[in-house]
Amino acid sequence: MQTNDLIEIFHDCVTRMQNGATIEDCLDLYPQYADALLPMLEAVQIPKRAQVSDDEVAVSQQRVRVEFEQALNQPTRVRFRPMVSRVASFVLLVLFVGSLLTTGVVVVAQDSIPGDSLYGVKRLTEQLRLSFADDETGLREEFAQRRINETRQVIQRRRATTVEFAGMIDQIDNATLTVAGFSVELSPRLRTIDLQVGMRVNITAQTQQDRTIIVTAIQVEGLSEIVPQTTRPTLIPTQSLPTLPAMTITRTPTSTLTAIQTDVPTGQPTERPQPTATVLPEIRPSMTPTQTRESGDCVPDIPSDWIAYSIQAGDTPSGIAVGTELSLAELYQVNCHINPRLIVVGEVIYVPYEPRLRASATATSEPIRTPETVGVTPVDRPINPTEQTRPTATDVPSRERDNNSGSRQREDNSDSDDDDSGGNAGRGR
Amino acid sequence: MFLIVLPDIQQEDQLIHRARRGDKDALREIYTLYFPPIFQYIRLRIDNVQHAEDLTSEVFLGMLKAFRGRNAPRKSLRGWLFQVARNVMSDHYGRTQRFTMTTLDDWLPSSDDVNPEIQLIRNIGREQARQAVQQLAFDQQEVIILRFGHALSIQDTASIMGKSPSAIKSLQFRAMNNLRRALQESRIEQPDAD
Repeated sequence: MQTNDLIEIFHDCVTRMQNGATIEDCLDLYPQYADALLPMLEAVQIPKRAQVSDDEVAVSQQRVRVEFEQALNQPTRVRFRPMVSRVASFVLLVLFVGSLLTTGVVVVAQDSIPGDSLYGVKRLTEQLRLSFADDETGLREEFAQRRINETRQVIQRRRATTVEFAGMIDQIDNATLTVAGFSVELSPRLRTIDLQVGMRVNITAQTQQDRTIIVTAIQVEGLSEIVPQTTRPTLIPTQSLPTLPAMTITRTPTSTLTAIQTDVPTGQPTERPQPTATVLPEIRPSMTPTQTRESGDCVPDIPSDWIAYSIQAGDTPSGIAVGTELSLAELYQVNCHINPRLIVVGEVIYVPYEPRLRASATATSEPIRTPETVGVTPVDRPINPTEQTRPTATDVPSRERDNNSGSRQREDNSDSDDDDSGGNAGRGR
Repeated sequence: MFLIVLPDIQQEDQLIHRARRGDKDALREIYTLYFPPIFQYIRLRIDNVQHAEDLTSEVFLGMLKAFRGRNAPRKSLRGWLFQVARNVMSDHYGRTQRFTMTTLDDWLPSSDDVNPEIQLIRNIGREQARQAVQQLAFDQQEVIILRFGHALSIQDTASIMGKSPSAIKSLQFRAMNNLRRALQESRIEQPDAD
């Protein structure tokens, strides 16, 4: 058809002209269509000619350029990547666990117990569930029950691994506690804690193949804020002790270990006390922020004939009180610089004479403990209190000094519940 | 006879490459090179200089945004820019709106050439050319502006207008034929009007 031919010929001519050919060149190629082509090829200039002058364009271009430059120099919006790193790492974690879930790995992991390769996956999914949970408390209770069940299985299988669980202290027999139905032994390297029946504790322990459970770290829930004491209390009685920071009770359910087994028997300050204890009023009704003891109360008035005694492994405040025929209240009144719940091996307290029951206490605790011993040599004291003059700073070994300065902790409201704790612990012995 | 106002394809590809890496100079260069054709394209259809400038500005600010984001053009920058310009105009004026319509009454044949039609075509001024183009149907206006006003290839024009290359060939032929006829009719009508 002629029109179709013309369409192609017109296109061919235009293309040629765009590449430098003239109208005449094109008409020579297609002489039979010259009449039709000529006006059209001439008209091709019209759109071009319809355009505004270059001057007008230049003016407009300059005007718009101002806006363009402004936009060009605006700080580039945050690119995609930096945002990714924060959010996506969490999302990727969720997706990763999600993918494990779909492949059944997490399902398998749910039955794992400490020591299994997938046990970490189980704990990870628990953390994720907690972060999404509406009923966090209920979930935590569920997980706490899981820890106990896991420990039971680990014991049944005679597996040597690390377990964690929480529970109430049902019974105290020297260094053996009954917690959540388990009979656990306090590691001799564990710092002495004045534990009592009824306390809720978080336990980290090492299981043995002979089914014993050695506690390597224990945290008493309900312990209010423990402030590491940076300055060692002076031995001069008239001088007031460092001001304690105001007590704040933080109700955080996370368990932070307040007593940790340290490899250095001198009790080097590896622990970082966190203000995390949960207050359980039914157990420790006195532990309310209103009962903050004023720091000014702790002005130790040490009788001149008392001696300095270095805390030994296995000692408890109540044991010392009994061994020195003091009430706990009396003991704490004089030794207000110590934390009654957490006395540290090597820490110096003042007593009328060396506790008499100490020897028997250590004797009974020895057989059930592993052979590790506390590296601190007790400060030898003459039994006769009269020979002991007023204690001076030189009586304290420097090791203890370091230890005390870094890790000694203190609880403010020691007065109110001392008698109570002493009674229990005393009966335990 | 064709003034090629657009940079060649090779230069264009390099510019795109640099601009995608955030090279500000490349973006400035694009603006310098492409503002005239894009502005002309818009200006031909929109009679108001201020409006045409605003719309052209919108096109280039959109380009900056695209290069900073993930919608940056990968090839045929000219096609991409005309496409944006086309969208910007239809956003503001609607796709089928005809722009200012005037008659060709004031066209005057300049001389008694043997071929008065060719004479007329050669001698028409800018305003007449504008009016002649605007007499055409919308897609015909567009095809001749892109093809002959801005020397875009059949392929680029086809992709901008969303048509096949062969449809563009037919369309450009019909558009030029109609344009020529409109000019001729106006020339014939001119004596009648007298």
